Amino acid sequence: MAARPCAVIFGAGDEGSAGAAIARRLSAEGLPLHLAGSNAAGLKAAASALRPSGQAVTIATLDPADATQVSGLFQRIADAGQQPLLVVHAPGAASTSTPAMKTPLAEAEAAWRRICFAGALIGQSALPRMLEAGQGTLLLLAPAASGASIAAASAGLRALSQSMAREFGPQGIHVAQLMLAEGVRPEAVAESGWWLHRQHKTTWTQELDLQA
Amino acid sequence: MTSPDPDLSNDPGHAVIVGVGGRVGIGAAVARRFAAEGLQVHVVGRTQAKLDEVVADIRDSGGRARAIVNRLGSPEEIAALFAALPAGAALEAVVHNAAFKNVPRRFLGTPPQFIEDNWRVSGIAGLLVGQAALQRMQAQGRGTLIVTGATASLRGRPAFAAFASAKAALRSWTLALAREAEPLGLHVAHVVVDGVVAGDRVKETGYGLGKLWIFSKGEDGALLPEQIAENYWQLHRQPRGAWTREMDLRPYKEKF
Repeated sequence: MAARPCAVIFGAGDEGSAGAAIARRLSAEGLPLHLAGSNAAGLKAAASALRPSGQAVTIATLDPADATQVSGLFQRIADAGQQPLLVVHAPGAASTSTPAMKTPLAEAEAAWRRICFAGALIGQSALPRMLEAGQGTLLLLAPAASGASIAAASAGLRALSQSMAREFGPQGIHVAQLMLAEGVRPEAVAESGWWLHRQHKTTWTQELDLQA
Repeated sequence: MTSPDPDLSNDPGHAVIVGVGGRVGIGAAVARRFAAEGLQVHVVGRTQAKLDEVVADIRDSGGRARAIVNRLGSPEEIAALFAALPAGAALEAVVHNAAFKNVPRRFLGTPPQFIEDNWRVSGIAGLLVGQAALQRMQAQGRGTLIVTGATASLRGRPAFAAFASAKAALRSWTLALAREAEPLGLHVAHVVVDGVVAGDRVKETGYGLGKLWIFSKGEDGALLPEQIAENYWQLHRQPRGAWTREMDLRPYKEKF
């Protein structure tokens, strides 16, 4: 029996993340949803907001920057007979205003783990599943650069997504980067994300900036 | 670990060159170029023996240099680089040239540790070196910080995801430092080295494949470390009415 397509959204419970809006947008499309992230309460709230849609929603509380936890989720999804057709990495904004000259290593590292490193781990776990199916979309969202730490982590994520796109695009997997400006409405991000997922492979976008 | 200091009387000002490996490379060439202008050069790298060779070359030509082994492992280790400078000495220039070994690697199957090591060495170490350098320079109201970038700073290619990701983050940090440092009278520049460097690091890569790579580029198809160093010196010499924040260096026939 062919695996049933599903969507996996990391950061759906993060404050200020477009993840929850993307989940709402996808619930209208009939895909089973897996909401993942470190904010248990936020995930719960995002899931209950989707209940009325009657959509199958699963919550996975995990650290997206932990390789074992991320690959474990994709294994469970496969075990459930599902195949990730659309995977979204939507880290929250968590704005900082520390000057670059004064940014402590701990702050720089936390932003990098959450935004860039997590994106790498999600890609490493999601892409093999998509390659098996010969199709899939990986959307990586860089939150609004509200500080040097976020900006640098987002630049790292953007380079990562270019490498992935150039390697896996020719194999039929669409890897796209969304660069969000401050003040962009989550619903608008979700609409754009769905648009990119629906693009035909003769006209794929690798990077889309969304200005408020 | 520090080698004995040569004569420090009549202090001409100091330059700290971080990320020095073999004699033929960007770090060593920059150290020689800045020493040729009379600056006391602090040559920083991981391997004492290699640093000693670079220092000996500089001293043989009448320059002042000392070797400092430092792995840039923590903010404390990096701060120690600058604490070792003589009190009151002018820190004229700091060049950050350290990078994790840049080898192609398929993305799937890349160990997360490899991605993290790339970020630590090729990425965030540059921020920490820059912060420590600028803090020291702030008191004197002048100084130059130059950070070595690469093609990957601007472009993530297949098989270089970890390196590109780290270099893009480093570029972002460097430009953020520049915006903050300029009003303080401090010059910060990011140099995109867009091509293969005809240096020891590439030559010793992949059982001779690196040498073949340079050879395949043809005459003047690879960047010469001496010429890169010349540009670093010119950046340092820029008057503050017209500072460059980012420049690219590319062999004349490199595709881009």
